[in-house]
Amino acid sequence: MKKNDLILLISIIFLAFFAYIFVKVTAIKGDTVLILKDGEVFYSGSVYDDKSIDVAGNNTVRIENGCAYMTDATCPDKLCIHQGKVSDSSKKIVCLPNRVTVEVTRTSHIDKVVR
Amino acid sequence: MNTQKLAQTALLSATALIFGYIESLLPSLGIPGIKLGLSNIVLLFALYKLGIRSAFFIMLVKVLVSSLLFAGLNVFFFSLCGGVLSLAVMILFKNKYFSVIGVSILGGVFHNIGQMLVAGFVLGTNAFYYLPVLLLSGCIMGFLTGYICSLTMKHLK
Repeated sequence: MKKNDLILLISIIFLAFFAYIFVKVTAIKGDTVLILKDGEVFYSGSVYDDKSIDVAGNNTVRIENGCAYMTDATCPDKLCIHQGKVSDSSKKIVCLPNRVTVEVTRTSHIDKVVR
Repeated sequence: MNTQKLAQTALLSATALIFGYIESLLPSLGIPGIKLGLSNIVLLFALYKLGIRSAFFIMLVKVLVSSLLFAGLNVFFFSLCGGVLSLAVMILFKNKYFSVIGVSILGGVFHNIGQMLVAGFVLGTNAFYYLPVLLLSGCIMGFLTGYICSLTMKHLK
């Protein structure tokens, strides 16, 4: 049964690869920063509008040079601060404990993204 | 469940918790959702040696205690969803088509998929962009833990 294991392993690696290509290829260069808190839209604004935003007193998001990133957070692991910068729809910054999401998308796509 | 099985289940539950604790001591890779899944070694072992009920019990204990003790209520919910989906899939494929390693890979991958789905639901957005990372890490970690478990089973009875 070891052969099936190998087939599974390789299949999943391929799947991961294709999913990655898919995400990268369908990524939209965004113009709007969308910050969600607890599933609701907290902030929506131009990505070219440089500013720092305080999200419900727990997280600080910085928008600068067409990118958005997390500069401060009250969560225990602070993973969100190390998640880098978002400038297109290929990734999002997520602070799971505080339920904050930062993403950059196009204004026309917002109705599809938010509940 | 007979007494011996009950005792063994309890012992393995404690072992799973210790594995979880050791895992929490290791430095985080900085990417959420990437975990070693060391407790899965114990879970798999229990699934093959003690049966479905034992494995389910150990999973519940592990999820409950380790998330409420080391993290928080939020994490508990995520862990539970990932754990249940992962175990369900492992039970489904136990002794069918795959060896322990394959089952472990499936378990690892579906644990991550479960968490991704729940995260998307809770956050109000989708986490699909994260799928490549989750698939890859679930797959590799599943392989490693499955391999370790197969070695363990070979040497223990």
